[in-house]
Amino acid sequence: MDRLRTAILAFVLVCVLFPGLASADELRAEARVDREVVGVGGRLVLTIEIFGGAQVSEPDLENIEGFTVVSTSRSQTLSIVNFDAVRSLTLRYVLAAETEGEYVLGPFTVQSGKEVFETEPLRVTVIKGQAPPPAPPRSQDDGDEVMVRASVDKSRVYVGEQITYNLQFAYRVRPRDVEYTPPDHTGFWTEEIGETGPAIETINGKRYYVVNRQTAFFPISSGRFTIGEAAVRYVVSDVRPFSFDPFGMTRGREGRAATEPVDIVVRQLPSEGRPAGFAGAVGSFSLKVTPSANEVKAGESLTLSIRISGRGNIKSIGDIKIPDLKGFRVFAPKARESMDVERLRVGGVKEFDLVLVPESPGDLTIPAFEFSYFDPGKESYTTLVSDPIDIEVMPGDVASLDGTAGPSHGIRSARADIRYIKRGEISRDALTMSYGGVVGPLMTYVPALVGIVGLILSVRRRRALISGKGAIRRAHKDARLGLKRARALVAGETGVAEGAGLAARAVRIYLASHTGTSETMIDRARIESIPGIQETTKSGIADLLGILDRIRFAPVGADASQVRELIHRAESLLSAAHGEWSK
Amino acid sequence: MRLQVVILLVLLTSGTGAALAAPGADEINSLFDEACDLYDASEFESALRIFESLVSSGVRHPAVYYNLANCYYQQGETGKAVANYRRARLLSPRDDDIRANLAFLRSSVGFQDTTGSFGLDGIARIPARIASPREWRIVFYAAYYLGVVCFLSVVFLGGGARRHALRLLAVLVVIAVAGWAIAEHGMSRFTGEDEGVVVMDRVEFMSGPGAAFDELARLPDGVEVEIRERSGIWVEVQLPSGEIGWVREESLELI
Repeated sequence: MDRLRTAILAFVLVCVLFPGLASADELRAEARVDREVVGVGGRLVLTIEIFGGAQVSEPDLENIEGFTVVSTSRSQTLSIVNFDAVRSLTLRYVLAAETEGEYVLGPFTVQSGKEVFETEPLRVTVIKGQAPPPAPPRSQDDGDEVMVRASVDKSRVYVGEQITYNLQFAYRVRPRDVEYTPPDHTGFWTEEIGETGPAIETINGKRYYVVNRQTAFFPISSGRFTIGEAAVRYVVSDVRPFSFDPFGMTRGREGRAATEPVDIVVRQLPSEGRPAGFAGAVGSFSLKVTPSANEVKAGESLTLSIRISGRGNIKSIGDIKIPDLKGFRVFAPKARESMDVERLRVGGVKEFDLVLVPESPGDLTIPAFEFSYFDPGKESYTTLVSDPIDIEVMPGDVASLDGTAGPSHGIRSARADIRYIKRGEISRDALTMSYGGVVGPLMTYVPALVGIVGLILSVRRRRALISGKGAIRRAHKDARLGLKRARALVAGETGVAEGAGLAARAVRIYLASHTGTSETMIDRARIESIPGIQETTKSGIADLLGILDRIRFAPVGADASQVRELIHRAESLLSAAHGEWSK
Repeated sequence: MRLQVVILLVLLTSGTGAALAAPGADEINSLFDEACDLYDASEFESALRIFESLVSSGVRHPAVYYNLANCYYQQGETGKAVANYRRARLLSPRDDDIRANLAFLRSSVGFQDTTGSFGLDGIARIPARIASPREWRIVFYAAYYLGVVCFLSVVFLGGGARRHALRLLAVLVVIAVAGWAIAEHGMSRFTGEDEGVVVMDRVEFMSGPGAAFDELARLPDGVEVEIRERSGIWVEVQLPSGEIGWVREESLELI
């Protein structure tokens, strides 16, 4: 808070010490005298107030006809209005009347840089003898420090015609806690236009800061109406000599100011010349009709934009009258409006979007649209007519957008434009598959857990098969399976070589699984070095493999029965070896 | 005691806690029916408020978004209607009514949705037009469960069956990964910030992120855009017709 105070004080000091910084205000000057009639030898006070500007040159009063300057004083003030520093220089001259006559004082010229301002000339009469005493000056705190005044631009209007109501809020001492009560506007449609100011104006010879607030009034019906009083409640600081209170922080005095009511006469719109399609629009408008495309496929839509723009109460424009649009399916128009203000006149745009769907190919014409309004300026009706628009319709999918395919289950169609609405049971979440409680995590993680457990079991089983008795059992089982396939090959008296080869391979794979080598490494020497099998079994296997290899590579002379016998022998030898190993 | 704490934490983190605070299924359906009745009585504003409250309470159902879009349409708010039809379509892409109403609004706006119809972007969006994220998630779970069975077959079986199971497992893994990715992409489109709809009329479409840039066009209410970049209150967007420009953030509603 202290920092804020310091900043404000510094700003004020800068403005006082360096007036050029506060010179953004326009240079203005005002001259006045305390009396307009004075007797010869009598005195009057000429006051020249200069607002704004920097390095202001004072007016020259050396040679004023009929008067001599008795004394001069000057004072400079700085006030803060809406956080803008406004500087003023007041020059007071005491003039003594010398000779009888009519005199014109001024105009007085003040200059600031290139800016020059001249005051209004003042007329003073010097008479013989003693002049009547001037009217007693009104004190600064005599109740007129705040004023509100209301005015209208016209008091006799047509129904729907705009009346611009101006509320002027003028103050000499900046009020605080301003509470505005708008006027009663029964019988009118109102739109706020805006606010201008504060600007410095002279009212009744006094300088005021003036804020103007404009409102547009649109009468709804004919007759005599009154715009009621607008009132302002406010608080002003007590004004005391030599007090410095630019922010009005001292105790205040409450006040109220009100406007006079304003009478308005509202005339009916003339019945003479009223167009059939007139729907109440008052103002001055233009009409523009634009299609989104001039070529379209049958069944596809195009949008027709009907735009009404101009000055007047846009909100009073009703629905547009749609002509007979043959060959089109017409959907309900969608309206949108926007308002603006131009030179205190309310206006804007109302736009209708009309969706049309041509039903069949060919050349179609959108007929002219009409819009009628009453122009209060011309005091007559005007009907705007758009140009007809040609549309080329090409063959297309007629059913693409029409929504006539029939509502689906659970849907009721109430209008032709959109399909609606859906009923029935709904669930909370159709986006995800979230389940409450532990169901969701179970659904996600349990299968993965089952897979992992299966993998672990499989690995353990595989390890058991690769080493130890499990491996032996598996190898014996595979060998027996191989011999069984070999027997099947030679069952039909054919495939002797293949059967012998398959049997030999089954035996070698069995032996390889025990020795930890490849089947191709199994030869007689390797067999005889295998531990854990009796010598007779080893030599039997080696002899058997020799015979099977010979039949495999030179099957001439060998028959199926011989191979079957060898396979049987192989089974016996493998069983013997397996039995010996298993021990 | 420690086991009980663990179970409690699992229950709380897996949705039970949230479900306790949210409205139940009966309440949701009661509100939904009430809103539909209000809509039938042409009390669109009241119906809209209920549908909006259902959405804000976490209900994500295509019928809710669809009806909400209808309410906005009746209120003349095309952009918000388009946004909600888009949400409904993400949840139910094969629904004819949603497609018809969305097409109707698009044609009235005057901008067709050509975004993503061609090229890689278009190809990437084909799955979203076939099925909803939830359906793709079901595909994922089906492939996942079958994949586990195939995996166990590969592990325990031998010979030809094992080979067949292995091939099937490879196919199921591809389906599961694709299903999961498409479902996630669909959900990210639903909750993401890459797509939007203009929800004001005559929105200034500027050449840069600021009012000082040139105005390229005025966008009507309901134009669908893809969001490319953000800069303060300005958002760079791409129109369906391909033009790129900047709009104020407040003029957009994210899908």
